[in-house]
Amino acid sequence: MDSIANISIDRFLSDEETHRKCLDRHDLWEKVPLINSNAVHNFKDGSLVRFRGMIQDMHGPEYYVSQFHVTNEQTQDKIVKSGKYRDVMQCCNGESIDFDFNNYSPEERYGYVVVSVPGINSWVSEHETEKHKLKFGQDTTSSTSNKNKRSYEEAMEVECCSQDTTPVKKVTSDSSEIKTSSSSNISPEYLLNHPLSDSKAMVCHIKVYQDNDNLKLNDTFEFVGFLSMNSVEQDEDDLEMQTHNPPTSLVPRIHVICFKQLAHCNPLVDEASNMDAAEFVNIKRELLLVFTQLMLGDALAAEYLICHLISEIYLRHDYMALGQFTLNISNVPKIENIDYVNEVYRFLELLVPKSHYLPFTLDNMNTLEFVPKKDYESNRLSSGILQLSRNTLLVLDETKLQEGKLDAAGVRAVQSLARVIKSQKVTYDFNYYPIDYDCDIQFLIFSEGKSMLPSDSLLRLKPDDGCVKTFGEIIEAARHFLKPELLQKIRIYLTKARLIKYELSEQVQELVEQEFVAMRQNGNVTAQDLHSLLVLCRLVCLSEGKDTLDSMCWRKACEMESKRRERVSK
Amino acid sequence: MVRRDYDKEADSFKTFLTEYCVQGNDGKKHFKYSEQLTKLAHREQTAMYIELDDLYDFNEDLANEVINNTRRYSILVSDIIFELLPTFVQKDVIAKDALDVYIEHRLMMEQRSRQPNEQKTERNKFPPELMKRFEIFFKDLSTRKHVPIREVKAESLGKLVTVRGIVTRSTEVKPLMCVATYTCDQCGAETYQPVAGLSFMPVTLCPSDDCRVNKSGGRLYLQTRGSKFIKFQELKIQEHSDQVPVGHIPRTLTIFCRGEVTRKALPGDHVAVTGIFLPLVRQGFKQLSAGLLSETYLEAHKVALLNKTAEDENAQNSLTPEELAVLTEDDFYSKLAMSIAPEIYGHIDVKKALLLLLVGGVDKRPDGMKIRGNINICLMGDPGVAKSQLLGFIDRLAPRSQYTTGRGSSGVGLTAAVMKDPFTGEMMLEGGALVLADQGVCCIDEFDKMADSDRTAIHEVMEQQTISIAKAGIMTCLNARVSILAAANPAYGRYNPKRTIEQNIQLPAALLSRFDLLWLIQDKADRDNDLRLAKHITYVHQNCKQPPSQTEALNMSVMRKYIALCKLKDPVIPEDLTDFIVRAYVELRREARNSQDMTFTSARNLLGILRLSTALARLRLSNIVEKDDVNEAIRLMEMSKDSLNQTIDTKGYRPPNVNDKIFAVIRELAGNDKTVKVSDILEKCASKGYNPDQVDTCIEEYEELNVWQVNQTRSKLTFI
Repeated sequence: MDSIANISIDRFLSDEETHRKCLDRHDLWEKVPLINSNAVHNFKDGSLVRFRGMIQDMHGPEYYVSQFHVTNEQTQDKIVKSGKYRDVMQCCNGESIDFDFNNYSPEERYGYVVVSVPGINSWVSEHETEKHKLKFGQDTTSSTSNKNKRSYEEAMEVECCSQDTTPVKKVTSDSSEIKTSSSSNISPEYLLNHPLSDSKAMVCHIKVYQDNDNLKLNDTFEFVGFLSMNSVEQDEDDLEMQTHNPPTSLVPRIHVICFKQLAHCNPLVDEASNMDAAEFVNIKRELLLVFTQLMLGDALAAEYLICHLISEIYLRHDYMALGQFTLNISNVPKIENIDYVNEVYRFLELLVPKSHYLPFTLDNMNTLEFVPKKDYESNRLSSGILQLSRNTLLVLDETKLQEGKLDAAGVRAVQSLARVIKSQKVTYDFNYYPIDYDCDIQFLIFSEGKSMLPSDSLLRLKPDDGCVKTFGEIIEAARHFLKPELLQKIRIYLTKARLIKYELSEQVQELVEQEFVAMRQNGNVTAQDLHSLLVLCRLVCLSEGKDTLDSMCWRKACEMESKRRERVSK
Repeated sequence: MVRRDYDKEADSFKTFLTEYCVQGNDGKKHFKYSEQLTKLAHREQTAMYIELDDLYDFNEDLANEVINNTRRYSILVSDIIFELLPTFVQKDVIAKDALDVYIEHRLMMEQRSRQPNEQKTERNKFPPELMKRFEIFFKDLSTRKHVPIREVKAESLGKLVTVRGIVTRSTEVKPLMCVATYTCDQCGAETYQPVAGLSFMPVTLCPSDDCRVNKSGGRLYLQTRGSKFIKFQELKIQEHSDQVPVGHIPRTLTIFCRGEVTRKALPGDHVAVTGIFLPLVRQGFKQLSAGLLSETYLEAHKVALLNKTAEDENAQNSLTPEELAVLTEDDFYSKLAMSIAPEIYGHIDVKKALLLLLVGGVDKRPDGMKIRGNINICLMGDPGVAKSQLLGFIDRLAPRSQYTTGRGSSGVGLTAAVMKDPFTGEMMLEGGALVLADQGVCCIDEFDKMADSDRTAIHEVMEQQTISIAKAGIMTCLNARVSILAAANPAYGRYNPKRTIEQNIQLPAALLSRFDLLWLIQDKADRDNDLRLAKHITYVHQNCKQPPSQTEALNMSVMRKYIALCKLKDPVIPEDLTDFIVRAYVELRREARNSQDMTFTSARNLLGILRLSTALARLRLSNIVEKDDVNEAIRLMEMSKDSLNQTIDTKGYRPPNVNDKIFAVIRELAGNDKTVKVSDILEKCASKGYNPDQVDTCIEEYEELNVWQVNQTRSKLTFI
């Protein structure tokens, strides 16, 4: 049964259930080659592959011929063949397909567009590559030899070209792959339709035969299925046909037999043994040390930043999303020769699995697509920056904002950003009506004054003059300090903290109630404040590796909040 | 599967078509289909709809068979009609178009050249598609439900389905070749080729006897004039947003419209389409290359435009018995109220008021006079007391609503704007928020920040429920039957209890009096309340759900359905209640006059009470207003007043009550004297509008406080 990784479609079909069961075993699942880290052209048509990505769009049902008859021309024998998991009817020489046998029963399968997880950081993909890279004799072009995710300049370039324009952009490494699409007049970027226009992104068309109700938009999944490299005959003029059937060399097609949802995208976590509370505290201390330096000597900001990095939404009720923790760090100083926010982001992207840096410039606001929009011309969902999977860190750099004119598109962009921050719902534009989709994006806003976008907590940075002067050295030191082992530990820590099951004990609940009543008596505290205080408590608690709230954490959170408020009111 | 006896069924169809009749209003038998057949025969009608409802009456089995295998039967029926038609011809048919003439000529030619002994009839040579000048459509059973596009699956293939959706794309109407006609360059014979699919392979070699026998190899040329074309349009429809499950993308469906069903809908229209769900048959090379996939489409039989109200009616039909059972429990009133913005804790009376706003009172039109039934509510309050959240919730809950802010909308944006069409140069009216929310709710946030000139537009809407336009030569009156839900901030940031409402929210009394209810939502520290609030919030954080002790919030769609159901009721106020209402109103008026009220009580309040009580009766799904409804309406009104007045109590200053006022009157009357006659007091007080009872209680109260003494006969009063 070890050969499940090399199984053929026909063999799989002979006993679907047993073979599918095999994949329940983790080690066998892992054996299936991952095409995220291996170039597709190394695989044969019909081989079993694995793909990890986020569902970007859903196509309707397709009807395929579940069974067809093949007649052997010499012997006139008729054999029944299954049409499942393939795109073309296969027959050998001397056989012909019996089209007149019309008694087939059409069955449904569902098409999905899956993109590699947007904003995935380079350390994650590097780790994956190391683990899953297969040796192919002829493979010299290492398609994933990306050093850093991308430099800032490159990022800007990518972001500045909007979705529909087709600039002459150098296609990385395997240009041979793409030239097969020469017949179509649509650019590869258009077909990829990636939320962040990431040049290294991969897109697959996935065909699902069962359990498709579990597949939700923007969720991340790992799919196992048969690769299909057959191109579908297409009509030159029909944009819809072309976007739905792109060349398989660019967008491979996978006929899925099995899939599972990913709780997180951190490849380090399933390997690591359990972390005990002591280690949590240790790592937090180290991380605090680094962040305090990065926050220019501001320990409170460092605490808030850690809390922000492990925040996620844990309850949704209608328009209320509990657990969202948008952090606005204001009073960011200007440091000569150093782009402070970008330097900080460099560190953040080393720590979290998924992140994206967005300079909040007028130009970006006016030109970038933020909200996904349905394109009826080609019948697909044109992606936007806000189409991100759960727990993606989005760093908005408002220090880059200059005075100037925001045009209509820009105003809409700012409005939609504000809406998303408030309710963590993105309103996708379906032209005839909008539809809200839940999201869970962590917004970290850096600004000089208070940001023009709303936020859950506004933190005024208190930079230390000494730190500001020596920031260049601080970066060097921090980079040196973050040795690979420590880096790994911090990465695990940040993901693990999210996975802890959290509880409020009875006693603490009572304490909280009493204190809240007292707070109400003293001053202007609203119910909303209690909500955000409880969210902060949870994060403080989790950051220390505890699973129940105790009075210590509560006190600490209260103290943090009051310090923060003090700074804001000043 | 038993093979069906199509011959037998053809016979029963024949009987159905010729003999089916309905009793008309005039008592005469009305042969529905044979009359239509006559019209078809005379080319006065091209499309014939066969209503499956009728067929179901005639033969249940057959109707079901038609639904399951519609394509087969539509061909069958069209063949039958083709056979029947000549018998219905009563007069000479006038040729309507070139094709008619063409067919006539062919038939004549054929007749002339026919050998007398030849058996075949003149039509046989022509494909029936060429000769048929009518179209047959089926109309779905009215009892069958609309299928969501998502549910149209493989098992629906070949069946008649009715789907609803919004048109997203429509192609131009193009001619589609139905029968291709060729002439041979050698023998001149005509060849016909029926085309079923979207593409066809032209015939090149003449198959006529002449050419075949002589092997002359005549080539065929397509004749456009002799070919038959039908109108063809491709539509794409997409699911309505309410049919899309959470986290999914709306599905689309391709629809092919042929002949008379084309040009029925434009992109953006809501439509209900009845049609046959079919796989697209490809021919030749494409069949091979497309391989295993088959595309599907819906062959339209009927395209009907829907308006939104029709949808609403559909929605409320589907309230299940279980849902209704929950809704008819004893505490349904508070349960419904609680389900409004459940994430906002408390404010139950405000929520009750909002619930009544959604249900609305009854409109009355006695003798041309128009009394609105819509309830207008204004929410005031300090910043950050969830006013906007309440507004947002109502906006989402109401089936028809508009949300706007006072600052963001100018008078034009609220009422209507006259626009010049850039292409035609014609003037046209563009509805603003109030017009668009007709028969719905218009939520206006930051009502106080609206410019004065814009606010005047609202005066008319709030009482007359119309908008008069006199702009750019267009003078008209538009309906704006809206309930207005406004939210306003106090003028100086916080509500100042020492000032009147007008001063606090700087709105003219004329506008304020048009609101049936004014609520002041305040955020005050209160030990018990705060503890409960804290308990509620910690519970939510702990258990990730609403506390169980509370009644569970009802689903939004259930609420919508119930409210739609309520709106169907038209409760009346019974005769014997009028006295009670009048008395209650007089009482309110008097109280308002006697207490230095911060609000005002006018005749509008009486109407307000009536509106609220009819809304309450509607909520009970009753057709008669009961005393309890009136009491609750008055209670709500008083609560709303209290919310404005009570603020003073907490600041150590309370408005003088009746006793205080009467005391002031007596004090004044007494002047420097120590004694006052009670009869004088009564007279003076009566003129000020206090009744003797109130005066008596006042005298007694102050006697107990030893402010004055009353003599034995209770005729004289002496200050101590």
